[in-house]
Amino acid sequence: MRNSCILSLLLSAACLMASCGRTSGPQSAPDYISNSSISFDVIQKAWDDVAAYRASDLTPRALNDSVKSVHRRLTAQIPVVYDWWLQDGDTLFWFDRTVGDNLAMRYKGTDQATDDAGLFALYIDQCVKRREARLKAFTESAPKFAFTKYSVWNPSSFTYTEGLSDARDHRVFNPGTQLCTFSFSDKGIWGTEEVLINDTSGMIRDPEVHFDANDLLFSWKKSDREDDYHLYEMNLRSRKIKQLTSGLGTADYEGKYLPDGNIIFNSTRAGHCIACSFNDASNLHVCDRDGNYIRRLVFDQVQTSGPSLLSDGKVIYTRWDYNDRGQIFAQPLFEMNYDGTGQLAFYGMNSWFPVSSIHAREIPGTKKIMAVMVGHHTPQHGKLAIIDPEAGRDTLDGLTYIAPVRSPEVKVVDQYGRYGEQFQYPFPLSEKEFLISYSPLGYYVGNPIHFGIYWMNVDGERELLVSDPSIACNQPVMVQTRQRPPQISSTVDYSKDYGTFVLQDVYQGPGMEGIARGTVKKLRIVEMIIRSAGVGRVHNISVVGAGTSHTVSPVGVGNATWDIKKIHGTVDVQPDGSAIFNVPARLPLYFQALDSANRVVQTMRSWATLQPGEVLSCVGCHEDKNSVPMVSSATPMAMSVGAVNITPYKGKGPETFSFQKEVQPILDRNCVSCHNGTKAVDYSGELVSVEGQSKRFYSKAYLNLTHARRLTKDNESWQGDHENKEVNWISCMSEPTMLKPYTAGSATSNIITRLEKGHGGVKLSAEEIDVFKLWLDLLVPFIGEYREANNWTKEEMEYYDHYDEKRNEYAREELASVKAYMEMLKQKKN
Amino acid sequence: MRNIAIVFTALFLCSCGGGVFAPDRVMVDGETAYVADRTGLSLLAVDIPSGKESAKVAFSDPVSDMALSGGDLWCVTEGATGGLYRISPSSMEISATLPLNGYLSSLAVGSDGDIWVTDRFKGKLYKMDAATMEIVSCVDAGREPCDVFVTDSLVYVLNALPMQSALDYPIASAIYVFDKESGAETGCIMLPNGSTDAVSMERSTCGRYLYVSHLLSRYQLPTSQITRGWICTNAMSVIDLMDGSLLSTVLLDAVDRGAANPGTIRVSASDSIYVALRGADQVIGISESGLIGRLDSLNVLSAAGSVENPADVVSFLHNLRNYTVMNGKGLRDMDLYNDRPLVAAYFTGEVKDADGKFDFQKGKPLTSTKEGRGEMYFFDANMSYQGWLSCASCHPHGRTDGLNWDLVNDGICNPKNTKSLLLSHQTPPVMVSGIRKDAYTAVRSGFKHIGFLAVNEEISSDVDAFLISMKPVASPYLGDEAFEQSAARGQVLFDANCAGCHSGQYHTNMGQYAAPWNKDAQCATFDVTSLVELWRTAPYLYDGRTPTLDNDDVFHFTDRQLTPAEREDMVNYMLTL
Repeated sequence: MRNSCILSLLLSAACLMASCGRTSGPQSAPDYISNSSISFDVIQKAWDDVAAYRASDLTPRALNDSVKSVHRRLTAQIPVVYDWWLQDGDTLFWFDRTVGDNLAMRYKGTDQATDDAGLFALYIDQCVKRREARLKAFTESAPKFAFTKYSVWNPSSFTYTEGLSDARDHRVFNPGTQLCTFSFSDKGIWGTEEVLINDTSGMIRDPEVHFDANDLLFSWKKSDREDDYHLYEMNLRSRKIKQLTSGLGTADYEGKYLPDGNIIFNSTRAGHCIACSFNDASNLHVCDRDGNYIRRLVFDQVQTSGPSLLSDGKVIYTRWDYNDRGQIFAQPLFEMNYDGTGQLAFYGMNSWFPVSSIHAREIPGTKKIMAVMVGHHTPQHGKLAIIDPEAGRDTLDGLTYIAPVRSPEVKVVDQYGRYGEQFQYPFPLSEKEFLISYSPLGYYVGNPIHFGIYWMNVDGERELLVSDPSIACNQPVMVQTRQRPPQISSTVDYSKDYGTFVLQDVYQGPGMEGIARGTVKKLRIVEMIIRSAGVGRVHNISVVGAGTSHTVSPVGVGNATWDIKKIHGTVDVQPDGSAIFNVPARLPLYFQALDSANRVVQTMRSWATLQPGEVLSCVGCHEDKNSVPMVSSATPMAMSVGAVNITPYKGKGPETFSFQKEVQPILDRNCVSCHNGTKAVDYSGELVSVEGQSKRFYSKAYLNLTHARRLTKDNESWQGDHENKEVNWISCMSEPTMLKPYTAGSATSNIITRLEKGHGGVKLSAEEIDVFKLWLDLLVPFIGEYREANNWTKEEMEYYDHYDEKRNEYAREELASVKAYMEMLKQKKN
Repeated sequence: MRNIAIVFTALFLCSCGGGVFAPDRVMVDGETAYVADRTGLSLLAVDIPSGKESAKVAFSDPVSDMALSGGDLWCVTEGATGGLYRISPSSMEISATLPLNGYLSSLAVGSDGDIWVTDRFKGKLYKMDAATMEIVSCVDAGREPCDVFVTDSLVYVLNALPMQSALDYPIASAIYVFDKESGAETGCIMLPNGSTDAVSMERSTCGRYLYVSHLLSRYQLPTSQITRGWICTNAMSVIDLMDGSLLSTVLLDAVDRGAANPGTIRVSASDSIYVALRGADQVIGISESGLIGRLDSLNVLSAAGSVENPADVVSFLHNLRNYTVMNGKGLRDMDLYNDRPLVAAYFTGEVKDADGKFDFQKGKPLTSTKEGRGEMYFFDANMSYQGWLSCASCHPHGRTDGLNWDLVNDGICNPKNTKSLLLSHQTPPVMVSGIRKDAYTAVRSGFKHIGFLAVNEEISSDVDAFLISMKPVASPYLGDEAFEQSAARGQVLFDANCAGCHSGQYHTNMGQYAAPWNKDAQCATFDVTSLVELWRTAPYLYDGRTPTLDNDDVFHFTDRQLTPAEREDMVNYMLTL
């Protein structure tokens, strides 16, 4: 189990690793460049080898593998020259031409040579001069950057990089790593590599240079099973290393310095499991420079990743966001203030494309973002783009691919970006130039993809700065002082347990298009209850092209809600569309706009989280953040009412929705006398196990009402018919884009009309009918607690209990940390 | 012809001492820049190529606007002895003077040589005869007229502040239009709801449109809205001079970055509309043809009207604008030299161009004094999150924008009218409800809850010093014998009925009381507010419900019925404070 105390170990890098401080690499040109015949021989031999392979009787696949091995050999032996060779050619299959013909098309000069070797020397000279010109501005100030070496992780989804020692599913860990710097001096074009840490059994990642350029923050996992990623800080002068966080079974990574002296980082301390697989999830946390006062900033359904500080003090990050919608295409960039307030969509919230935006960094002097566009089931590398949020917030608006500059190659596919050259971890230097971990061969050669650190410009002109024949070079960050963003004045008040939403006009925004003013009477506030672990699964299939998935520890049949829903209650919406209300802080909450018949007009299909004491205002219902609509009144009516508390659900308070507890009693009272499976379809509450995959019992009533059935051969689990006229709902695999109002559920299900009219001599009360509406609009949940109606073995129950307890312990630790933080603030004030 | 807007924030001249150079007006004529030095009470002629001062004219009040006409340099001054001056540009000697004893805020010369002058606090528009230096006409021109623009037949007067009750909808600054011949008001162009702190007007290249700089305050949301981007947006309205209609209002802001406190507008011959951003130390350049084209594409310029409102889109000018960082603080004015911006940087004491080739400085800048630095911070939007607003956005000139704001520093859902900060340090507690024990606390709370940035103590302390240094302006109503006689009668009534609470030199006993007439308010007690400069701080009462003092709620706690005449006397007295 984890070590809960926070260690602050001062370790000497020199003591820890014998090879630390080692420098390598030339300050002058590598031998294979200063003596071009070395490179020529390597090129010529490669061509000869490929010619020999082609002349042999190798199978096409073996021939392909052999050619790939030649590419790899060239990359290892003459990295810079081979990169020039590749970028100056028009195809990777340069072996189709003779070396001489290749040279003829690459050499642009007019000097003559007597043979290929001579022409090659002229070509190299041409390339060196070009490098001098390209790097002139960059190397003028003797730049230095830090970077990491590790084998690029290759998980099934870009998100799973925690590599927890006790991971319940993916554990991506490839030992062997270095933390390095690379520096240029005297305006040269060849730099010097220095190894700060060499660890043959661990992995180092996520270097981050402090504003004053004196300290280097990074994450280090020293062992597969005996350690996890934790935050460390190295003083770049003394090389002293300080461990900031600790705990076996806990991964802390992706740390970034904040203007107020704290550090934001990603961590598995959230303790939960993702909804669509069995993997650990990470959420963003914050701690001080010593790793103290760790507090959770986001309370997100699944994964957050890649926090990146903007010049105005905001943090952007990638948030996996699939409440009530398909899981593959919903990895937008989010933003928040670094105290956790103002968590809002930044880019790509309601779009199919780009699938995922990761490794985002602000371009200095602009409000534009450079980021890598990847798919969902892809590693963390793909295509490189600049996002201009001012030009738009979704799909292709504001998105430009670079290197070279072009319109995006739009492909709405899960595994987007798994082709051709590959980019990861850009570090923008300006709107034109950047450092990048790049592989020109990428998927042409395939895994393991070998990345080097390049200087590059938006036109795609590039120079390889550093590479390692044995391992990928990743995550370049400049070692230089930088402007500290302004320090925000945090309004977070941990002594409170609530925040306040100010909704100016619910009718603003595309989500309420066509809805007459006055239609919305209330907002329902619903909390997503996230599972601690996955036991069993159901299969979900999208009918709108959002792919397929599983829900683990399923809440209902396939295509039902991802997560358990807890209803907090409702608040009134004023006739002018305004509402101001307090909600519990630090929870994932979403809203449903209800009409006078308590039907959902529009539902959020995302969630919002407030910090305690936060007041977050929104103009309308998912309005474009670029819009500032004028309001046709002096003051929102809700202003005169004041901030109201939630009218609690059923007059009692927050409660999760369980079909057995809410719907079945109504059925039992009114329906099962006929609907008993003999006279009519069975609506009894008898629990049955219809398959082995979900590891869940369902009632006959639930299965029949959802028209559940098995649809695929390779998945046993039953799926509900979410498009059935009688009972329909928004599928959990619905599109990522905005739905029209009244899309499905209580507004379109015939059962509601039937119940309202009366059926078989039975007329339910309005309150009873409202329960059915609620069930439909929550996406037909069956259970209200993840252990409810389980069909788990003892071992499976122990498995769930283990992770549940681990999560609870995290929660207790965090609570203690918050209290300590409050005490510290109190003492500081005094 | 030239219409220079007024941005005169430093009426309250602080103890800056001699040698401080604080340029806040600049006009370029050929190779000469005429520069008004607010602290030096002078007008300088500066040779731009050499960067040398060639001549200087001294006044008894700060120069507030300039224009060239008929070979003469005209200027107006603002202050107790403010007047109109004619100056020979060659000798830089005053050749004629017309004392008007007012805060003359703008000056324009018509095509017939007719001269138009506005008086900010008297709210007047004067027409002058240039030859005789006599007043031809004088008409009411709204609240705090700050810029005047003359066409062949009409005169447009821009009001800095709205005149309405803060509970009215819409509430906004307006442009009043007068017939040039008759002097009669022919129209009023309301800017969009929430428009305040209007500053400048400038004609388009084609001559058809008039560009107007102002704020567009989104006061319907609590000020915490700034934490997710914008609260005061910063705008430029486009007026159609063909029919005197408001065609459109576009936001100058970028997404996630405010173009705070737009001021002087200039239109270049090379297709740029330049707007000096007083709170952002930058000049924004907008492609004029691009703007007109974009508005045209939305049918904004056609009779059909636009479905989309450009003022709804904070990124409307995307790809049409660029920014020039001027490396000077407080861009109070701007003109064009060689078609490029040349600015007066008030706080850093510089007159400079955008390319760094011309940078005229003399003496010490305002920032050499604590009060001067405080004033700089007060007007600096860099003190707020994403540069959306400066303190002056809601407190123009340290006073009020006339709007009701919901500040989160005293809870939510209790919007209240912006208070003037004059004498706030001297009259604790502060805020309408007196929730802050003193203005020192309120300054720091303001940065925290409204600006949302952590500001160091030195900055807050400097802002204290600036606010403390603010001096009241004498009532513009004084000087009229009949009015003063009425006010004297009113003072007797006031002393008998009101001075129990509104006592002392600031007319407040600094107490807090329940206020039954404020029955809608959520606060239990209200601070007894200072009445100094009451003539300037409409609308009145905690929610700005009344634009005039002639309101029943103003006469609270009077035990006796007042006759209409008595009531008028009391109103007149209060207007003299």
